[in-house]
Amino acid sequence: MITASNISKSFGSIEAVKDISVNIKNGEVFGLIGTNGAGKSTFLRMLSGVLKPDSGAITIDDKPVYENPAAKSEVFYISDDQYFLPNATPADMAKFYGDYYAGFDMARFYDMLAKFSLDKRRKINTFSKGMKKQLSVILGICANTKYMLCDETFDGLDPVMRQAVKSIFAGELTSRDFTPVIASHNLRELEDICDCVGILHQGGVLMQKDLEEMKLNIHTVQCVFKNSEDEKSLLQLLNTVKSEKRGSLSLITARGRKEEIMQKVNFFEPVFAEILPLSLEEIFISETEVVGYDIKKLIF
Amino acid sequence: MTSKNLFFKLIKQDWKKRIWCPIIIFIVYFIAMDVSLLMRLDAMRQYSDRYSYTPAIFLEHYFFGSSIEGAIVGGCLTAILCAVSGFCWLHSRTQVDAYNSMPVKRTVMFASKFLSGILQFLAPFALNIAICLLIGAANGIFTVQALANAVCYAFYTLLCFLTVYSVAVMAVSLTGNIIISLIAAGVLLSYSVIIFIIKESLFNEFFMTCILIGEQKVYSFSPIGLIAQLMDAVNGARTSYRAAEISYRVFNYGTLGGFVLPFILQAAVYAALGFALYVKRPSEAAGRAIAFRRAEPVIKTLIVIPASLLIGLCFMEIIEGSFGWFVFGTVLCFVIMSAVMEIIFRFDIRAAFNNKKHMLFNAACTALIIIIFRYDVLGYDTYVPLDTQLEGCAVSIDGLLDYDCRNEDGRYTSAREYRLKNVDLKNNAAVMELARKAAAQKLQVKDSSDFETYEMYEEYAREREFHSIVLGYKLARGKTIYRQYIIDLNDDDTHRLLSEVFADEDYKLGITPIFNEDISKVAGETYLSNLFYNVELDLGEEEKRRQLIEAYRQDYMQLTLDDIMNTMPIGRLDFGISEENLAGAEYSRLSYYTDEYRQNYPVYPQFTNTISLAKSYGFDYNKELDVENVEYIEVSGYKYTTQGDGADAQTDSFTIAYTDKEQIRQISEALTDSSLAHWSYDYNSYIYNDKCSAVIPNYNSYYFIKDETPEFVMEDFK
Repeated sequence: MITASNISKSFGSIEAVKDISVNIKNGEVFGLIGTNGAGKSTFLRMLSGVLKPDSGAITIDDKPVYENPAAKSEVFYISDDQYFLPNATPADMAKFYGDYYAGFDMARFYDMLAKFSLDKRRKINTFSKGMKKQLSVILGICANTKYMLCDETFDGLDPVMRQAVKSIFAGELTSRDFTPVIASHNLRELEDICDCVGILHQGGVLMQKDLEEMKLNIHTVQCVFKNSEDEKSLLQLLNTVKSEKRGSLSLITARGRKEEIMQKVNFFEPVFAEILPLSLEEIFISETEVVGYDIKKLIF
Repeated sequence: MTSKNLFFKLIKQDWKKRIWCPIIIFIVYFIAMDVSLLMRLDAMRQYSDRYSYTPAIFLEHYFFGSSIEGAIVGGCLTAILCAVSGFCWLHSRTQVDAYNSMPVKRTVMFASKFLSGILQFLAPFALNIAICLLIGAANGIFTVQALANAVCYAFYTLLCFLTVYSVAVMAVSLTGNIIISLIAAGVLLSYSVIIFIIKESLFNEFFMTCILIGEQKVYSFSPIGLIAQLMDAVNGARTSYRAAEISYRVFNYGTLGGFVLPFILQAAVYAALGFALYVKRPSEAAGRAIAFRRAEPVIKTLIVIPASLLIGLCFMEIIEGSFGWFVFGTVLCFVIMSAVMEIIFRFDIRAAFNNKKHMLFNAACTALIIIIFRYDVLGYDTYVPLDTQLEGCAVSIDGLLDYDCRNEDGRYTSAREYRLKNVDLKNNAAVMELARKAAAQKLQVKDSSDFETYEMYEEYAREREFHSIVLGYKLARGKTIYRQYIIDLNDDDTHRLLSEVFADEDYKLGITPIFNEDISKVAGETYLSNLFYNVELDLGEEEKRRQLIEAYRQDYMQLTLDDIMNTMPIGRLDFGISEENLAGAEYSRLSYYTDEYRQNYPVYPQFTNTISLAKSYGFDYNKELDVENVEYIEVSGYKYTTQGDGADAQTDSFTIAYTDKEQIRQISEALTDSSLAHWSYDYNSYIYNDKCSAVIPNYNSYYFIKDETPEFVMEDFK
């Protein structure tokens, strides 16, 4: 488990990360969302042991990460601008990481290169940005570390490759102890892969929640009532987050389990009622609005 | 994977990453060493008559000897290349993120990169040395001596490389930008030399009693200072060797042995500092000018203040000692440097005048230094130790009895330095009284430019008789402090005190090399001469030499300051001094220029013992010119005519030959030559050399003694 307790980091007069506390459980995909300059990269650089927090502590499996090769050997960090040796080929980079990571799987590396149609002898400096991202992910996967920290890794990948990478992650998650931490400014990219999400804003964590838990506890009901009085009563009865009216159709977003909400809706014998799936984006809008933030301004 | 394996893997990785570095080093040394050796050997084969030594000796003592200077310079440059190429990744955020996220301790990463850099120099360098030795073997000139010298050659070059490399690594670790790293390396490499120059210049410019005595040891806490000393020693390590048929210069690495420890210590200290900076260096420092924000004000102070003073001194030098220009230069440089440093620190021109408080602090420090020197706040010029602090006093009365002097190693040394080294007056009250008086008077020699008219200067000069003395206060704690004073011998009290100093036997013995020489080194051939005649005596027996020196010593000890000031020597005594003989077999002992040199001493009319002993050897110091044997004396000079505007005009040089025996006799009695006149304390006051001089065929060239020139000559050259 990765634990960050009250960590802060400043660069001169700029406070990049302020008193962040996050727990990342093993086996879950942790999404780190925030606008540019929110502190995502700084946070990941601290998690990977590149930066030393000014205050607070970061542990990986209860081991402090800074200047600790034992902890670092369980982490593979893909920065937003990954470094490749001058004039190196993918094979050179595999040897390079193989020197550092004892569990680096060379056979799998070449296998994955082939699957991604990357030439192992082609110089990386001739690769496109997306190809470099693919190579970074392949190197990270083959390093066989427990934790993989990805900074904006999905940016630049085409939809097919994005899906391919996601499926690789999914495969890793099922086959071994693997915990990716994915930072992105695009919430939609993480929606279908993350189990847990943390939102960073101006160096601090607004919230950290389990995605499924959030999805199970908030729903939108699309319904048509016989009269408006029933609708008003229902809104009072439900833990309503938001309601909207489109002609005779009412869209009500309310907290609570699906069955509880539908029971209350059916009590008023609506003409029509059904539960609509909520996107991650909608969930966050709802959640953060509750805490007083206009999330649309923060993220989208 | 063990950490040991990782360490070597990292070195291998580093080599792969910058393989261009050892390749470049190999090519440069290949051309400078192997190709040059082949060319030289070929030249020696073709033009063997031009060389006084064999190819084997060339390989031993020249190629792997004195040419080490080139290897050292190359080693220093490649050290910077290796350090910068090996550690410049610290300046790239991308690379810092990659390397610092790896499961490797910084200590291991540093050690592997550091060692890799050394190997990237050492491997191609050693390979080239091996190739050179193979070339030597292929040409049949390989010797054990060549191998031994090659090892020393590589060792001393490596020492210099290591020192500069450590400093450059420290500079790269301290900074976050490659250009700033190179500047920082330059500053760190030469800082001690620059500080030394500034300090010496400030003392010289502002303290009138300041004098530099002996070889000035440049501070060596920066490598350039130490390397400069090594280069100097390399020059000294070349020694003459002569055998029956060949002569060449032996290169003796043994003389450089004293540098090994200082170089190792310096390299170790800088490497340790570089390591500490590397380990403490924050990853976010990549791209900044200075990696450590807290170090910025310290660095700024250490650069801005000396740089300002240095530029101030340059202005002062250009405008001939003007304090106003010194201040102007200092202020100008201070403002520019302060702004430039801030701009560099922030990479922002608008930040030029940030940190005003720190700028004020630096300005205050600079002003304080200037005030200290300008107003001698610490009392440098007025310093005279208490009698109780003094163990002895070295004295040099400059210009009085300047002998040709040598150090123990046979090198020439100035008469002043010889005197200060050998004279140690104890319990001579006159010295300290003279010192106190001179320090209080603070006399300064002025030149004509200090006066409105030349007449005013002449009047000033007539009333004074300035001379310089240097004192070396030998303090109880073993330190000697030197001061130079200007004294005025027209002051009766000063004259008395200086006479008492000169009268001190220890002074006379200390200043006179012949009394300090080993009698066995005084050669048998001794020349006695007066103005017109000389004789070579073969004083083969040591006892005879001893007698002559003893007679001279007895007379010499009676000599007074007034004698010298008022009497012209009548002759000279020339002794040959032999250094240990070099010709012959071994490479051992050395002479820097020659194996024998001569010392000559004045003989005054008062030296009765010497004169009478010389007479018994067959030479009469009082022998006058035999005018009957002189056909004529030629006197050459100028005539001066007064022009319409009142100014003197000089005619072309012309010569008059005086043939009349009486005129010849009168002229001969008025003559002296430079070999005798230069012993006079006030040479110029004796010589009437501005209008005419004389030549006696088969004898010599002479000057007329002032006020003794015959009337008829004066008339002819009016």
